Amino acid sequence: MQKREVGKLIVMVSNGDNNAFQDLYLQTKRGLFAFLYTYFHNREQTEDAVHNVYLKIKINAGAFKEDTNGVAWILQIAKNYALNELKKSERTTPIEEWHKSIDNGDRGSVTDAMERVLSEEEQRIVTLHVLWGYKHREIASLIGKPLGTITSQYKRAMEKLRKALKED
Amino acid sequence: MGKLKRRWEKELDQMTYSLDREFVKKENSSKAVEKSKPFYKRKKFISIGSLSFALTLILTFVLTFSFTQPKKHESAFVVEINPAVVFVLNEEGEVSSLVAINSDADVIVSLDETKEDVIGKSAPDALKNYVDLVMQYGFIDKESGATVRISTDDKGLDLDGFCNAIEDFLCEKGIMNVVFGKNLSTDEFCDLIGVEKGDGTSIVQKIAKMPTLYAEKIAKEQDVEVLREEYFQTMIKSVVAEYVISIIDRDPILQEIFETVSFEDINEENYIEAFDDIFQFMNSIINLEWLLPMLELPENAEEYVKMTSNSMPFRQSYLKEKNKEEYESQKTPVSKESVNQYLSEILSQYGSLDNYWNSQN
Repeated sequence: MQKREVGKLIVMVSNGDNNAFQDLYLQTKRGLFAFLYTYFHNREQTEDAVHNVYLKIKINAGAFKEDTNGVAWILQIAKNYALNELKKSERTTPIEEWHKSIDNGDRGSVTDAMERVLSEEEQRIVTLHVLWGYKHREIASLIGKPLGTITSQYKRAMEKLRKALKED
Repeated sequence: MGKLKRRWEKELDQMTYSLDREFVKKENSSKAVEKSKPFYKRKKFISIGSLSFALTLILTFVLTFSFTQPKKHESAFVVEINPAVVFVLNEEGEVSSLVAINSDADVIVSLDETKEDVIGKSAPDALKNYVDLVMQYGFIDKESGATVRISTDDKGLDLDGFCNAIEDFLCEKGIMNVVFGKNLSTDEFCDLIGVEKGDGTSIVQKIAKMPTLYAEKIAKEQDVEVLREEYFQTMIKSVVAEYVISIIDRDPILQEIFETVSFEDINEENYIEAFDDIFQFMNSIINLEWLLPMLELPENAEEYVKMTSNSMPFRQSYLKEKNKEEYESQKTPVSKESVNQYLSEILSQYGSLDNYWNSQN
């Protein structure tokens, strides 16, 4: 996914271009869903989150600065939304209920395997690299960890994921 | 990673289906966003006495040194990245020959560039050029980093120097890496390269009797069923099928037609039969006749060697082309500190480099 293209589409959305919004959605929906899933761990809440994040993108597209990183902008909106929602859930939902809402997922799916064998951070690193095309160096800067750590975490995560998918 | 990514994207498409109905209108008039590879100045006046004293010192030093230093000799070591290749050095420390000890190594060993840039070069230079070729043909993923093991039974070899040469090269290319040397006993080294132990001949003599290509080696040693399986995995599934899939991936109409086909789910026993239907259909649209001979399985050892050899130019050019963008992409060099930190992380997780190596292979 070309980060510069995403930026251009956001600018077009801010000018009221609905076709550009549709293109933006099609280009980013998989990565956004996977990214938000690492926060909510279930399909229902993730779908709601994706829906709401795209609405926020549409409403706030005017605030996006041209020639900056469109993908990073979208992910920041998504992360802020997810963290706010999770805080609200912790305040209003008993922990047991919240844990019950975590999907068992379809056994054998990549999403299920990731949920079972990877930590949240590992899930995010894999999602950012595989689906969003972020280089390890960029992920290291995003997450605030050394490059060597990200590379070794990624390798470990992929080994665990491959093993889990083989066993399924 | 490509297969995982395709599978994951398909799942995500199913999971976002209900959202599609909200955000995607039926009439889509916008253009599809394109998807998406550095005199002594001498005193003239010397007394005869001091000259003869100096000469005596020099002679003594040279004679002592020549008795304590080991004689130059031929030697051998193995470099495993995947591929796995035996390097044979002459007495001057230059690469005199290479022997492939796995199938992927055949791709590199049989290149003209290998003959020009590796054979005849000093070991450190040869190693850098060799690793460069390995990168060019896609055997090193720049993002995942490289793990390289150099093994030998010759304790006189400068393993540290060889490791440093490769490490420096990879760091310069911006590739995180673990490069380490391993001293083996002669028996262990024989097991590694696949030669008989204890017959009285030296390692270099044993290697000299090995065929250069792995395909030729296993053709002499393995049953035809093993050879057919080897050909199926390395050629049909990894090259021909991937090439055909890459054609589908580049064409929106073919993508639509083959949308419901999941190549990963095709049973290996029926792979050729299932794939043949796809291939025949595509051949009616674009000329793929030239690929047909590569879709057969060899009937005997001789055919296996011949088919492997005949298909090698296509295999090489496919791998090179597939990896071209990645190979040419520029990366910021990686510092030694980063590499050392990466190594610490690995050691804290795996306990030893041997454990780490075994987990990767």
